[in-house]
Amino acid sequence: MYWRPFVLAVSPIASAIRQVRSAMNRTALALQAAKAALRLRQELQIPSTAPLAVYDVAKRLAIDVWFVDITTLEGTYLPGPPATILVTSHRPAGRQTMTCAHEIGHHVFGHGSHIDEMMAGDKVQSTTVEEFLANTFAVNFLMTRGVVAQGFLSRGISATSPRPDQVYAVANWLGVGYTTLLYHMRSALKTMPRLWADRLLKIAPRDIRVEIAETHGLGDVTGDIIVVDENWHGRPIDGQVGDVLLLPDGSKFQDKCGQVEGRGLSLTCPGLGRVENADLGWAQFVRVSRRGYCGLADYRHLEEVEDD
Amino acid sequence: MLNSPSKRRHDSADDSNEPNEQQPDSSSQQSRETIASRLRTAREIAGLTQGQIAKLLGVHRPTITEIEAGRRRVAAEELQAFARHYRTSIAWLSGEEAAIADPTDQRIRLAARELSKLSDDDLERLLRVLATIRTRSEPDR
Repeated sequence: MYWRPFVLAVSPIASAIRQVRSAMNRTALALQAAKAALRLRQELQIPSTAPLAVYDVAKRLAIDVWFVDITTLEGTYLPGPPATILVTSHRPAGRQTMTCAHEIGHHVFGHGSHIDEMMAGDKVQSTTVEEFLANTFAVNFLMTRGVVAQGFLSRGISATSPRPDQVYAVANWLGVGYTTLLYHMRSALKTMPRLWADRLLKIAPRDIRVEIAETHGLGDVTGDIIVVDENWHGRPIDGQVGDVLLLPDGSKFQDKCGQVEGRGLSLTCPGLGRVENADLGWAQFVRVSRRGYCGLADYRHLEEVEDD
Repeated sequence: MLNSPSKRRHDSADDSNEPNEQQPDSSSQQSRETIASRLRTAREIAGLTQGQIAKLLGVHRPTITEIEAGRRRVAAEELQAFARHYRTSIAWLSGEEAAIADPTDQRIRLAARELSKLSDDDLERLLRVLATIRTRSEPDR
């Protein structure tokens, strides 16, 4: 019976060693994923200070992306050929972007077929090494330290104590969710004090949207509100029918996929357009897809045909 | 390329691109209906309206309506063009492959453990989508 006290004495030490090893492994894996993300940006010649359009990246990597009407699915990666990513159509645009980047991570690391089921909230959940790598790749690919800093710096916003609507605007520019950006700045980049981030995390994006709509007289918005300013460079503005873009004062849009009223540009039908502001010397392309679009990503901005 | 038995039967029934005025035999009719149904499914999965695919193919929308209703035969080149735009294979469009993917298929290689995470309805939807889009790279038989 001598083993019982021995186990009792050793067990906490063994457990502590396991925890340290696990932490070291996670750090090494996180570094590996971050390096892979930066390497891919370099290969695609996307500066680390620029936002990226994730579906365009997939296309450049010869990956077919499909939006599918499957509610309990988050995303799927199939190595192919052709390499294929399925993304559920039942999630907000920011979440879909993150899912696609995650699946690109599986592609970059040469993982096999994967199904990522629906996750609650925006917290990153990594149950396996492959999932951890793909998650870490995704956040570092979309939100490099440089591009996050650029998002705040170019708008003259403090990255340590921003207002909720300011974080929301930067998240829009990056194409990610508000809470996703906050978690990343708080826990990975450590550029935002935990207390401040936790305070902002208590505010729901829906409440921020309501406040923006009220402040700028946008009325009832059925879809998302995308805050666009003259610092929106580096990628087109992607929206869905029903979304409203909050534009800089005096902006013009003359294409048929949207209608300007005050500072709001309501996206009314799928298609491509261009918003411009002569006073600011700024212009950007706008791409509109059907709301909850299902189909091949390549076709999401095709205009409806008259006799349909 | 298009040398499957069903396709040969189909071609011999009508060599023109115009709507078939003759009474087709039952197997030819069945083949046409299968192709029509598969074309509709593939178009919907690809996210295209009839008008959009008509524009991409440079034909009138009613032509697509007729094809998808099984009232007009599809020429080999047309089927190839449909397959390219829908990211599927001619074999699948011709009905030579199952409408729903086999989860144990080596090409899909989805672990049963992972598939079990999905609801029954979603699993069936997923396998239907995969059956349509996963065969693009296979050589046409």
